[in-house]
Amino acid sequence: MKLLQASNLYLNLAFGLTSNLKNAISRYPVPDELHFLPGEKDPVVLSQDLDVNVQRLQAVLGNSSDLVVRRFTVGPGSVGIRCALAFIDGMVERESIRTSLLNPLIIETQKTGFTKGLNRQNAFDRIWNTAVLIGEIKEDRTLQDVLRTLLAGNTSLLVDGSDRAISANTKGFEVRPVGEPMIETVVRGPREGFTEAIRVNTALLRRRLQDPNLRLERFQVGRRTQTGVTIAYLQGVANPKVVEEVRRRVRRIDIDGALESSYIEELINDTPHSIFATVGRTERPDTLVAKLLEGRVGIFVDGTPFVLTVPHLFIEELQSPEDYYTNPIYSSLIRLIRLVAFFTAVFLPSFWVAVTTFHPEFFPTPFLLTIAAGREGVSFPTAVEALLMGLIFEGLREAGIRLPRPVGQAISIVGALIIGTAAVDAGLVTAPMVIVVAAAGIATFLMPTIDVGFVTTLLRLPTLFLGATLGLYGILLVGVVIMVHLASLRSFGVPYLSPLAPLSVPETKDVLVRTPLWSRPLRPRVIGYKEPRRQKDNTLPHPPRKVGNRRGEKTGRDGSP
Amino acid sequence: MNNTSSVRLSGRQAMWLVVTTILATTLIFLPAWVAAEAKQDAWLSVLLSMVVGVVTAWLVSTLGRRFPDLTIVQYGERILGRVLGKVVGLVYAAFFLHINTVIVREFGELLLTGFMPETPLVVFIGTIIVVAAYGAWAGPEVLARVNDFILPVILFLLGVSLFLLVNQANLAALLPLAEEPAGIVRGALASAVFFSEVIILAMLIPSLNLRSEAARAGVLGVLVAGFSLMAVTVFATMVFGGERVANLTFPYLALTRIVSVRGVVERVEFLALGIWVLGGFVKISVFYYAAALASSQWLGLREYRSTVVPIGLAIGFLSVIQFENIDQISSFLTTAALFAYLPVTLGLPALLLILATLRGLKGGSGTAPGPRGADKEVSP
Repeated sequence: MKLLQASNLYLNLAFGLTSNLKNAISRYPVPDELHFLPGEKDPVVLSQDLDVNVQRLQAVLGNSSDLVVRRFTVGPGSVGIRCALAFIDGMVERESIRTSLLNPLIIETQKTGFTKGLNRQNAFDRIWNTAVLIGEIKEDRTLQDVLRTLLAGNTSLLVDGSDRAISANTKGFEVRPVGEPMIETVVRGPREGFTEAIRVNTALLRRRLQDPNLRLERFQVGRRTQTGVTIAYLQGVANPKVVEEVRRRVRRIDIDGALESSYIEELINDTPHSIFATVGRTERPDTLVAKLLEGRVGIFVDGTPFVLTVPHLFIEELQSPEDYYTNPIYSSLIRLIRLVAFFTAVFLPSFWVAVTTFHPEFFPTPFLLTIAAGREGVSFPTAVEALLMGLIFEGLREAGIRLPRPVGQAISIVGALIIGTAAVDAGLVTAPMVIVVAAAGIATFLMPTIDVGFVTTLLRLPTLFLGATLGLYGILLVGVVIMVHLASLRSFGVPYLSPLAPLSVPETKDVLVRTPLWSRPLRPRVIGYKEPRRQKDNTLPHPPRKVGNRRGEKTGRDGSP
Repeated sequence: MNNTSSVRLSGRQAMWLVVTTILATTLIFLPAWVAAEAKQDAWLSVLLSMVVGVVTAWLVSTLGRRFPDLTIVQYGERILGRVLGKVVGLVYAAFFLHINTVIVREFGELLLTGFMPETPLVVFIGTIIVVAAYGAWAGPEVLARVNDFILPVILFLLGVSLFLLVNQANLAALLPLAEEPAGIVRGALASAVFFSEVIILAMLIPSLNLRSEAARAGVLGVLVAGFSLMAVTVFATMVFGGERVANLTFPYLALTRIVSVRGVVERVEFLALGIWVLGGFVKISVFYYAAALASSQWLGLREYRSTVVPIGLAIGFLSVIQFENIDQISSFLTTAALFAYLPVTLGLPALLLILATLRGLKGGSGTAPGPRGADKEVSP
């Protein structure tokens, strides 16, 4: 990879492309800081005059149709204090505005002695203390603060005679209810998945991790989208250096909008040039809790159900949450099958091409004769066959995802017909090639994360090319290059292939196989945790021991006294 | 990060690198060359010539303990002074480069004759150099990690292929034992060059996180590789007999070709191909790295990576023009190499160690970073 980068650099320098490109971009200066209000670099303090403030607000928002300003008076008409309630329609919970703001402010203040001695000077404090029935309120002093309040879905209460405004949390936009995860499905295990609302997601995490050491730190990313980004980690378990590095990288982001956690992932990962993901992602709260307990750091992004986790190792791409909810021996078998499937997905088509083209002597003679007979009437070289079938397969797969569901059915029928017998009958491809490509395709579907599925698809092409030109030697070369590339990657300081390379045998208890929980009293060391111990020793379950147990006769078979 | 063992080479990784470096390509050729001298006692020759490797490992690691942060090119200059030291440095840079040209040529020759006779030799040499350049560029730390995968695979494939030959092995072929002691010694000399390849430790020691483990890594590495080579030699002798092994060009390849277990498992030469390409990559990359590091230190460059491209071109060019065929390589390695390589791997380190001890020279604190550029950290 580094060689590639270097050669790219030299090429670009040779043609002067880099400098041209840089000039073209640098013509547009980067603003030093966020100009939240156009043309206003410094905070604009609020006026004491209510009308001025309201007019400014409306002007800044361009009299936007969803801005609601409700003016009213607190107290009897002549001495009453004029107030205004501002919020963005659709972002707020109307019911709480009615019962917790409008009702106490307009009606309750009439009934009690609230208005006695009320004047422009003490109105704000009195309202703050006794008339706002909302839990989370704060004070805004500048126009920018008020705007942020409104745009986040809160309600702003402006009081005449005061240069401050009350910001009340009345957020209440429509969110998708917590539902079953779409991608990381399990047979046994929790059915809850993250949603698009960051607060719901952090609550899903908190509910499973009722530990005062759980830290949630909020950042804002996106000059215009003001997307909430929250870092989650366990104080005392996560490596503080990694946490600090995550903070640093998130703060470094300066972009106009972040719509999905992939935006954050692309801007903070260690390997921007690699096809391998060095930032993990999950839509399952239980998976996130497991990662945090191992000392990783989670990154929530508002507006997406996918939460990022770092450091992320290659081996995590081949693990499913299900592995931890089923019998350890069975899940070990499944993990080994997945590993085989990974190699099948990447290497099988090219292996087939290489052997049939360059090393037919590896096949037993009868089989070889069958293949040769099948190739009669097929005019393409094996490599072209593989490419053609691979293309059709990938096309069908992509079409199946993009098409609306009712039409998608048709695709599978067409696919079954084309990939099935028709292509063979027409003499386009040989029958074994259909099997080979289909096997590689199925192997791709075995990958527990989508990203590693993409990786296998991407790697298949160069492998096929070298397998078709240099035979098995070419495939081995590609394998070596992939290995060197993987071995040179790091995710937040942790070698990407660890604990396999550098090999650490005690750490492989939860890698290619999964040993039972009682056999792993320590956290995986490679993550760089702070606190190694996760359970006592000797947690192997067993029936009560009769020998040496004085209460033996009182103890039942199930261990209950 | 807090995990220092993941930043540099551990002693275990260095040992594994030594094993792969000695074993990888050697195992395909060696039995023939040794058997040419020692006949059925070839395995005793291999056993004997391990001594050369152990001595070299001891010399190099003792020097490495005196100068923990320096490579042999650098402490050669400290010990012998500027002018003579530069000569020694050049000798090592040339040695690592030259031995690599031989390995690369062997590598290509086997692929050519054994697997793909219609492909030009240059294609094999060109492709492996490009891939090895990537490996050398990535540095010893990455190579060690890759080797953590490759060495177990090599040993596994080797074990499987030898196991499949059990039904054809004839123990009597090893008799009479120690028929001609002189032949055994001559055979040991023929294989000495390969064990002295442990000299790469002299370039790797500054990258170790515990320099004191270098001796263990070197000696154990030689022993593991040696016993694996001995196993191959024993099987080759048992299957083919001492006389016939000597006439084979690639005895191990021939072994895998005649595998036949009840007609079900036959012709497992792809096992040999796997060992050859995976191990060959590690071996060539390690020597490539050593050559690049030695030459850049000799030239006084700060980054070894600046010499990776020219070294690669030199290896490719020399490996093609140097020999005409595989027999020339064999005869070079078993005769001329003794006088060309052994003085560099045994004589010079011994001389340097004696002089350093006499003059009481020591250097390096043991905490300074290894070769520049190799241990580049990406993050915290």
